[in-house]
Amino acid sequence: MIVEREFGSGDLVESRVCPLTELDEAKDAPLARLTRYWFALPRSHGVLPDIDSVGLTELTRLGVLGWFHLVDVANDDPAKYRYDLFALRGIGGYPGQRLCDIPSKALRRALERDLTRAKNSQFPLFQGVRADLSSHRRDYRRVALPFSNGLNDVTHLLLGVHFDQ
Amino acid sequence: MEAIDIPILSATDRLQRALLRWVDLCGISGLFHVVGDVQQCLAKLDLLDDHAYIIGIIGENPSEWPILWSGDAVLIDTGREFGPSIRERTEEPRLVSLLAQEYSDAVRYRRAAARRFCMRRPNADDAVDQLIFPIRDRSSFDYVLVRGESVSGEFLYDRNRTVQDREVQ
Repeated sequence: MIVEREFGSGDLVESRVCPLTELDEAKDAPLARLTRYWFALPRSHGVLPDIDSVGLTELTRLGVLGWFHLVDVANDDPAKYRYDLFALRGIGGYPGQRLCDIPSKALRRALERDLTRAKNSQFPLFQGVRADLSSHRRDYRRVALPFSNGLNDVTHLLLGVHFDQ
Repeated sequence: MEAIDIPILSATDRLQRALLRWVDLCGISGLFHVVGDVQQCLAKLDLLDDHAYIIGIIGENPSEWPILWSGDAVLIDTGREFGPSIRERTEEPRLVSLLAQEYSDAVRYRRAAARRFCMRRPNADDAVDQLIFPIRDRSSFDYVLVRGESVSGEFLYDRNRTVQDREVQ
């Protein structure tokens, strides 16, 4: 298991890369449903599903509404990755926010690293995350699902997030 | 003329919040049961805004369905019949049928839907996004609450009245 930590200004963000087989369908049902959905989507171009094939009704039917971010990762500079949608059950972010706008340096660096890894691997990345920030503290699981815009490059990540309420 | 699922890339925070609110109220695909006056009940739950309207799914002829209530930004008026009101706003005769089909399905299958209605034109498409929520009252009459917004063009909502992106959660 890979564990990576980012520190800064009293903040700590710890990420654990986990195999998909560790995704607990009972504990993290929204993440499991999202991941199954990703594998089931049609691929018209290569190995990646098209982001345009994902709709609001389907995400509602899956019961994942509020549990996902949508991040535009088309830019080569990770600092300019941008949240197109921010999980409504999440805290501390907003649609349109770029990673470079995130106040916590530790969280920003961790996200830049993790999302770039997910973008480059072109495969779901499942992680356990512990964020101990001055503004809040939260333990959660996250799955990053890569999408293209019709070609082979990853342009978006659908980030399923799930935390104990 | 076509109806498709609202693409996630263009789903606004307002529509997402409204859909999440509905799911919290009555489950993933639920039918909402109203006690008392439909409009008052939905208003109390903060589900009505400028871009919302309520249609009574009463009778077999969609043209005669009553518009129970409509927000200020909606270009069809409270108290009138659904079919003639829509036809006054668009030259596309299939729109009434397409809307009626989606509203009927929402009631029949007791599930909310997110639909983009798109009218193809040679120069630019007209499109609106709508969330369609089925409702039933104690007398077993069916209604739909429709919350929408313009994507392009203008055929159901006043483009001069921007959507209030207030929180409904």
